Amino acid sequence: MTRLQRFRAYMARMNPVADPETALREGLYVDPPGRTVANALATRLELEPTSTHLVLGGIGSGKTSEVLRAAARTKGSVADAGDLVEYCDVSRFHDVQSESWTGVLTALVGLSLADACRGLVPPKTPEAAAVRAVRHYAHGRTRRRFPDDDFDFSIAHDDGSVTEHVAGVLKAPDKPLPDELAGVAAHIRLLKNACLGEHKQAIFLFDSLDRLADPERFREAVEDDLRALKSVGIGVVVVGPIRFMAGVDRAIANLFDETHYHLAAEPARPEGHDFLVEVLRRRAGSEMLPDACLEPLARASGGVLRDLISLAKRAGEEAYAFGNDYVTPEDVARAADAFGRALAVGLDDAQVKLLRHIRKTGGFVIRGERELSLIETGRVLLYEGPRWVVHPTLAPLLDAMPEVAA
Amino acid sequence: MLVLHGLDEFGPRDLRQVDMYRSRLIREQPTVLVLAEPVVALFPEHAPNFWSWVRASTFRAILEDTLPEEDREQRLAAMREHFGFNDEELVRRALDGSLPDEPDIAEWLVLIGRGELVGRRGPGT
Repeated sequence: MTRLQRFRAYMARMNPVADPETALREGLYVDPPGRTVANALATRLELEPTSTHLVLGGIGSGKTSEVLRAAARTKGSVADAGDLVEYCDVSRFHDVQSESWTGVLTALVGLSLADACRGLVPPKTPEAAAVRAVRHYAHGRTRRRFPDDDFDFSIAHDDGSVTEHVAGVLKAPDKPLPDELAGVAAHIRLLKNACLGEHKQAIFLFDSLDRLADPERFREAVEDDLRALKSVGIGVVVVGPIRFMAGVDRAIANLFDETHYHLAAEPARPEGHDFLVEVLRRRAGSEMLPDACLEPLARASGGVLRDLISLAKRAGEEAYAFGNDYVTPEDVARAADAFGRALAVGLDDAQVKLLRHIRKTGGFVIRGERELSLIETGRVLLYEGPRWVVHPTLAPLLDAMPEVAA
Repeated sequence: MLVLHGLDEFGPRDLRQVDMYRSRLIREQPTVLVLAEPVVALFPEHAPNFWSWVRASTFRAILEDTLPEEDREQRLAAMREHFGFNDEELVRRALDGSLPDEPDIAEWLVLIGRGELVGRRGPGT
């Protein structure tokens, strides 16, 4: 293999935007230390298949990998029982910029069950009608409409008067489900029983809703659908953005039976260090990435998986550009410096002051958008404890910040 | 390779869309996004997911007319040693189209002022 070929193979393995499903298939997944979100989710879903779960974690922390792993483990555990476990990337089926989100999750469940019922449902049965209904709900339909057909004469009395409903003084404590959604849920129950039978379960894991950082839109996407799906006995897992971990948006978690936090693996702890080193070793051998580079890379990443792989990739670029035959600790140091400078881009004076405070005291109180932004952009990391730290590549640059940010 | 430029008018709303639809931007081949610093400064806030993909591969261009002579000589020395031949041999091989297809070779030719030989496939091309 030529030098160029070796470096190209290395760079291909250090892809921070690789499809997590592909990474899992290629054996690149490593179990994070401690009780993983994947195992916690799988255990709960096996025991309570109709429960609902919210998974929160930072950008690039590996949430999708954990959810995929949970789906795989649950599928394996319930295979004998014949339960249905489906992973669904919502962004592949629904425009994330859409104004309307109520009913989306329910529609996706309906379509999946309709497909599962293929060949099992005789024509002209309630189940066949349910298949049509859920597909119409999901994809819409066209119908002929006659002009001047706005008034339903069938409800008029002989004297020409019509009955109208007057609301009472009591207001139901739980907002009722929208009529159409309640109707689709009933069809979904029929389909679930048709393709699985009454005693088997269906569990759906929905990814990409963390793209809905606006809490009101996220609430719209999950609130009614969770109730609809739970009412027909379907378990649901949803991935949400990290900002729901803290601040006023935490109330979103109340919609779910349980919330799981996928935190960064702390490099200073032995189990965190070993995990991060193993992630790198699965992707590169010591002939390209010597042992001496592993600890500096793990430390510089702060335990964020995407940052770890990105740093290793950048170190590879540095090595190649410098004419090295493999990555050296000096290449890692240059990569970490460049990474820290990229993290500094866009910081304002107030954020720099806050970061210095966190670095000095470890104290961090989330009062509003300024603090949430630091978490969302990965400049501040959360470890178990909870413990807040400034990203290790950014912390050393804070004192020279006026020069870096210029 | 795809080079994208002319996006310096991008504002927060555009970047939020880039972030939301980032999956559509994934390509097998390399992509270079050329942006002015004021636009780049908006990425962490308005496209944090996309930024987390690319921030480790961000380079600040320092625009000068020429590479400092010391850096140029250092780079040329490294390439002569790595490939095992000198500038005259490089030019000879470029003219008969027998050079390996590597980025370093293209850089070497440019640094010795023979950029017109990059990608040459043989005599008369």
